[in-house]
Amino acid sequence: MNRTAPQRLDFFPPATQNPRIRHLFYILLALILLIVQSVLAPYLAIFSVTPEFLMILGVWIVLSEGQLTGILYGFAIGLLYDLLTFQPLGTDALARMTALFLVGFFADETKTQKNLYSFSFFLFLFFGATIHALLLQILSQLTLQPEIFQWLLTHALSRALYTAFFAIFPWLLITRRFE
Amino acid sequence: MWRFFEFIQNFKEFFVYISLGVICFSLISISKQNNSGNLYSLSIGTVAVLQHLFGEIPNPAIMQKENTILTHINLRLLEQNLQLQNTIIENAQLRELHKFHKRDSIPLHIAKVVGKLGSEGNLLFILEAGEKDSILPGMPVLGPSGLLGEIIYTSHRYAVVRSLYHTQSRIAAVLKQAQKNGIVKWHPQWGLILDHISQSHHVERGDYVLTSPYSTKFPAYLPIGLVDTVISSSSSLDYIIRIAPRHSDEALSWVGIMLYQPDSELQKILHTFATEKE
Repeated sequence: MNRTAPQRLDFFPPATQNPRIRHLFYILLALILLIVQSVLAPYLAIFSVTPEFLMILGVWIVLSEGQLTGILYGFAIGLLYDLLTFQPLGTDALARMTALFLVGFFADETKTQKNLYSFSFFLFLFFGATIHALLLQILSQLTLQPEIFQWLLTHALSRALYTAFFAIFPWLLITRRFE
Repeated sequence: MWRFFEFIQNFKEFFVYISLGVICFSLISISKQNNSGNLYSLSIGTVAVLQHLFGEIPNPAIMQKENTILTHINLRLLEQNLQLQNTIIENAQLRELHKFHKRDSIPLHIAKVVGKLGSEGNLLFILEAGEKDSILPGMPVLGPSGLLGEIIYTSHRYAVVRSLYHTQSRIAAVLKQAQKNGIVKWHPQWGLILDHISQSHHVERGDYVLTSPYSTKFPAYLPIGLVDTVISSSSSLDYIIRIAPRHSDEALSWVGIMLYQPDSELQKILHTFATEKE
């Protein structure tokens, strides 16, 4: 399986064909989503479960730009998120990077369009968000007792499901516009 | 040599992942040991400003909950008011009889809550009080009816409070009636619990949980909550004691910061002991 970044994303709009513009767009979007995630996400909490907006962007980057780029973005976004939420530095970075690294195994240059514009995207997002939530809880708790593992899994799955739900809106917007 | 570079080229994703993973673990270890407050103090201002901006947005789910809580608090205050009237008379008589000496009172700085970060298990508060008000990390923060948490980071104008509802919060506590010491912490499954109380002791529902006189961080006997449920676990020798906090975090708008600093010499000894143990 080829996990390297695709050379040309033909299905992207003309403005984003230029990698520099595309990365600038990703960085700007990441900064906006960082603020949304740390300040506004608690308003959307259902039973203390909040959506993970940054993971939507992360999975999109991994599937469109490749595993290596995804890892680097995951690390950088995670570090900034740790700083904004006063967590021990590196906690979210490690969890996010690992989740995107694993999702990256599905990033294939020949199937980029299919991965992004079909329902496979939600499967990858669900997978990534579950791994991220699970690792984040384990890293911040640093204890693994059998009875809490089941809870962790339930919490992680519900968070991933909630995130996937929120991804529907931007996904529909993008797919309909650029189809 | 060329084959080595080719090998690295083929597996560059793995090498980058492992390298960044090592950096992450080092950062986690450093920030847990050194309490990298300086770095975080840079972000406190940013987050506080953002919280100020977005804090005015009403959250219907929380507002509904807040209304119910406020009604309950109101009723409880009414009840307490009636009780207080009797207690004041009783107290005056007892003071006269026993020449009861008042404990040295610790000054309290009242601060406004300007933001709330995270949810249960990761809950932090941002207060509009900082180094200019002599607020320092480690100071206890009180809610309307008991301990709320401790200051962990400060900037010139703001301070961040790690609440009881945070996975990293550990508080030495004592049961008022049972007189047994344990640790209050946040458990992802059970919520706020009192740990390390052996199942050989008798613990009653409704017993008061207070800060322990052995606490090296907080003054003794600050109220934390009440024993809500006592669960006997077959996989452990200790009870799982769920604590009902004496206040809800949802309706908090003002808190009190106790201008209390733990004994620095004692903290130094404990730190040396912990370092040697590692």
